[in-house]
Amino acid sequence: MSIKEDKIKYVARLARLKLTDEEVALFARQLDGILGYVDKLNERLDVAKDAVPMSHPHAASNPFREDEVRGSASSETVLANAPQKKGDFFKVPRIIEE
Amino acid sequence: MDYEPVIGLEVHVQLKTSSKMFCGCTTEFGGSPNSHTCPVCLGFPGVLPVLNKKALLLAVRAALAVGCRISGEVKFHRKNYFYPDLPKDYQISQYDEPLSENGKIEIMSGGTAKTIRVKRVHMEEDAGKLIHEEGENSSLVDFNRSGMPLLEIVSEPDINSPDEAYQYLTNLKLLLKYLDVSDCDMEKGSLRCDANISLRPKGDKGLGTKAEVKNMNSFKGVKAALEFEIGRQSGLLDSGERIVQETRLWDPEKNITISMRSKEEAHDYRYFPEPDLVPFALDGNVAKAQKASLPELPKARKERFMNLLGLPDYDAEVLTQEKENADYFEECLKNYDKPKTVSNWMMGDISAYLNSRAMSITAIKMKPASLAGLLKEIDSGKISGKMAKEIIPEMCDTGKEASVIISEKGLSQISDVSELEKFADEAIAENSKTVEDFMKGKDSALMFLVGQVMKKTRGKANPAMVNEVLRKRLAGKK
Ligand SMILES: [Zn+2]
Repeated sequence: MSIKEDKIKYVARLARLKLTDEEVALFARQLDGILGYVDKLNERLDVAKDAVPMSHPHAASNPFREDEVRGSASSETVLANAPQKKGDFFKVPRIIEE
Repeated sequence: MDYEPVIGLEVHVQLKTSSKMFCGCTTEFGGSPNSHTCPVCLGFPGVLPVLNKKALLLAVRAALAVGCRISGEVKFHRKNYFYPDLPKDYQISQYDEPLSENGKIEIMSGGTAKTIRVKRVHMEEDAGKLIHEEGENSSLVDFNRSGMPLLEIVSEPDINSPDEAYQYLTNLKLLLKYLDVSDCDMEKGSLRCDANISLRPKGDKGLGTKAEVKNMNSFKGVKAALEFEIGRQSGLLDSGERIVQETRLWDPEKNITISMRSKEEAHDYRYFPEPDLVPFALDGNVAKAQKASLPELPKARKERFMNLLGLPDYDAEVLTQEKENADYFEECLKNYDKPKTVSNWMMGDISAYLNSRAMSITAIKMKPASLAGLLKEIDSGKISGKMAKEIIPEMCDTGKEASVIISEKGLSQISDVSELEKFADEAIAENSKTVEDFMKGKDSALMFLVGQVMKKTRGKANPAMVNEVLRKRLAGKK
């Protein structure tokens, strides 16, 4: 297996996901299968050498916006779904640097 | 041991657009909290960013001015991390294929020119602002700044002293202001600077372990923070301790840096291509058009002031330190063709006026053409330089033409010869002893007589003319 459980735990921590030991084992197995399948490409061609990495399926068409102010949402709309607020601010639990 | 500091700077400037980078919210400073936000810059699900064309063009402009090579394709990446000021949990930034690379900024170091290489110039969006509530277990978030278009300018570690860092920042800011791509106002947060610094034994080529220093709110702060770090790191190295790679915050009150302990993994940003933005093709014409529209940059302007207008190095340097001053100077020259005279008045009385009021030249009411008018009045002998000094503050305050103030105050010099002759004769008659001295060859006695005439005219005479008239009258007596 190329994907080890510690890799799953590391990625889960970065993504703030809480996984049970069973889930860690399950995802390690599944992701390993998926990546193993993708690895088959390397049997036929040297991906790093023969293909430019694709960053988007569409061809570039430069869909720009002109620099115009179109207004913002009202503060009621903006804060409507905020779990906590104070005045016009969003209120969040304090982050303590570890 | 003697150490050499190795410093690299990361500068963020806000691009001067009217709307944000990916949405139509205003970029205006201030506003009540969250009043300049919308679903896009708040990262609501299902919204799509659309790139502001002007932001890209300004970025290209700045990159060209620092001599970078512009990439033919602009790609955006997501930089992933969790922090409450980042609504999408990722920042749209650039990663392995930035807008531009390999530029340079020239500085002066100890009297000689030095090139600081610019590694890359890329675009990214700003995050919101977090306010920690005193004594509360919560923080408040204002997303007005979220999605503002930023340019990140990263230098190579070519800077070897706090003073060089200061010079680099000053020159970069001057350049960006000349280009009109950013206000570069540190107080409003439109220019921010982080510094990487490590030490190595003098003469060594390797690199030591670096610290990243943040939170400096002025160029002087950057200099002071770097000076502090040099002291701290050399102290550790001298006592055989290890430098820890970390982020440190500058405390401008205490003049120290403080460790901001953070986990290693915080730096794993898991960049991946931003699927919401297709790559942008920048054909050579875009860069060419921007390059053609670049204004004359400070260095070239200074050289022109010296070579074509004959200004001394010092004058040319001072006048080009602010684009507005150089513009004012040149505007004035359109109506008055004596560069050094204009420069003297600008660096003298006008500069004193501005400094005493903490104003910039754009805020004064005296138009460049009006200054030209005043200088012509001096040349024609209508007023003295001393009178001009008195007139300038009023011209700056009110915008009135010099000729108007001169007639309102009855300031004009007496340059009517027959009138001056009358005063000269009086002075000669009243000071026979002095006249005698002069006749005996004591040339300095004449200055006393000039003074007497000036007194009689209450300073309204042209001293050069008085001198001439007196000599003629006295010669007649011989
Ligand atoms: Zn918005």
